[in-house]
Amino acid sequence: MHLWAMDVSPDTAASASLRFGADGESGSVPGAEAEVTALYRKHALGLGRLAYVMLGDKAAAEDAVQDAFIGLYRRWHHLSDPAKALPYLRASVLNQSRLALRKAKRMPRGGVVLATQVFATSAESAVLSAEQRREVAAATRRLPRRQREVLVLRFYLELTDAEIAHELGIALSTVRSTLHRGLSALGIALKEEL
Amino acid sequence: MTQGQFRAALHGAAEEFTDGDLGPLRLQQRASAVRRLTQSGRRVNWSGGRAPRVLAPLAAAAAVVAIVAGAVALSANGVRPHAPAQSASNRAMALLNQVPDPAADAGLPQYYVAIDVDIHDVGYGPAATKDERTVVGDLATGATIKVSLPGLFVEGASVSADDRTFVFLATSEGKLYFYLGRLNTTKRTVSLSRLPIAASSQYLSFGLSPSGTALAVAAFSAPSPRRLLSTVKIYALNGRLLRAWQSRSQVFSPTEGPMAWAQNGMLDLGVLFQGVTVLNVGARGGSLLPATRRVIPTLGPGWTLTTITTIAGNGQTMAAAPVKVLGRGFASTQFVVFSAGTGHVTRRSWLTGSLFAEVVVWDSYSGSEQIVEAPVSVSAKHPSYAYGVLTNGRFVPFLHFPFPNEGFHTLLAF
Repeated sequence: MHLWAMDVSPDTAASASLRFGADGESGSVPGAEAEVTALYRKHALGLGRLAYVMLGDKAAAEDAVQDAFIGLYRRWHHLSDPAKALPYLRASVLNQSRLALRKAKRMPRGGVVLATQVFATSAESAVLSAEQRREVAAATRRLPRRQREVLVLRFYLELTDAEIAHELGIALSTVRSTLHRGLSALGIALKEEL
Repeated sequence: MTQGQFRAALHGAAEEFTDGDLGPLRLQQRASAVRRLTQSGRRVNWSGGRAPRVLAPLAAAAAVVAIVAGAVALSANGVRPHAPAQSASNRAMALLNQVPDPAADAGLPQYYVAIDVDIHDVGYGPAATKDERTVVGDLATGATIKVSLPGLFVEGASVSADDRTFVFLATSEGKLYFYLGRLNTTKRTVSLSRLPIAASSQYLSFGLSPSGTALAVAAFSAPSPRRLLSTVKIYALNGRLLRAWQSRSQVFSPTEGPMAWAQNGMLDLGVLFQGVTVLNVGARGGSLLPATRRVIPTLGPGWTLTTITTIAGNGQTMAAAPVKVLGRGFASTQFVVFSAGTGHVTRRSWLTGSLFAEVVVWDSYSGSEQIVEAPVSVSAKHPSYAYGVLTNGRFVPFLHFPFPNEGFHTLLAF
């Protein structure tokens, strides 16, 4: 058997050092709450930012992160491999983001407000005007789900094609094509709007 | 805008979210606002559960570079006159049942179509302005022919078994077009002509018949969870509709790329939920479900069937490179051949060394040999690939493949 070594993200590597219980029930595992809380302290901000990029709404992003950790806590007794914690949390956040976006489309008024945020200036993105960043963020969120996720995983989380394929459960070639398709669509959208 | 600026924009946006936006972990609360809003929604399963492939990705990459000799003759519109005008159903059947010269089944294919784009070198802007690379090549000599469609972006291809015919799916400004390509091996030229076949859905797969005389287009749309529509249409190359099936359910998941079409009339519609949907193109048009069957390979626990499968020319076996996620960033890939009837895996192999089969590019008539794309480097940052023949569990790279270490988005041999 040949292993495919994917360059794991620093966060993944960090989570691998944690010890997960293999006994007990979810939520009632001795120490589970403390372990999950420790993971929360370590990863919540990064996951929150991921959700925020996907959703453009801080409250919804925070909810997505909370739900992901609640899910992990409930499934604690299923967790046998510590390295699965962060991938699970990340997948959960992405899934919550999908659900929130889907729900938001059904609820144009009220509910979660999405894709209307104007991102403020930051040092890293100062080369772009606030207007340009707003356009980029909004255009990204209007992409089809998979394109949006692949672009965010690549350009925000800096995952490789192989890692994205692993994360989303799709073929490597699909990652490449979706990445390209997303970039094309984004370029067209931005050209039309700028 | 550059990709660097896009990256910076995402990071800048992300930094808007700070520690102050996070409350304390509320483990004891039953549901957050998102959960309440999405109570009926599907949850992530622990056991590696992913959202089902309701919509497969849109079409692919594409673009072009070129090398060597050969002229590209473009005819602006219309189809070449080889496609006979037919109207009667029996003549349609005759067209569907055409098979290439049996001589074409002997041995490995000599030619290939390769489509690629170097995403890292591509900035934003209209797709048609990107640096494309689409090549038709000769595996025997290493010669390649540059192919380009001005103003269009080649996204995918399908090839016939007649060693000279292929179809491109190209886009421009969001519209999709099919182009028929023919290789003249004597003059070393490729001619392209636009097919009068509409491609309106972005979620589609397409496949050229083994004889190169008909094109199957499979599309799936899901404007809402209650409005699913799967359609498969087969056209003569003059645009005449030969067969059409549809279903108000998801029968397949379009792969954005080619569908393998066996010479016994079995059309591989692609993978859906760990099974391959196969259509009998000889079946009467109408309802799609009765014309299809599911082939579920016996892969074993933990193995995931990826989106690309091929079918042998005789339609008896299928080939795929399933993946097993091992955790901690590791995955394993194997290469399997399984019965197109029962799904029983008849051949299972891992390649030696650091290689593993990644994509099955071509399947022989008998299913005994496959052309595969195999990574030769496990570096996820800078992977390199080789193309070659997998026979008896042994991988033999092509001698005259002029793009060492490159992985193409699409590479099809014919």
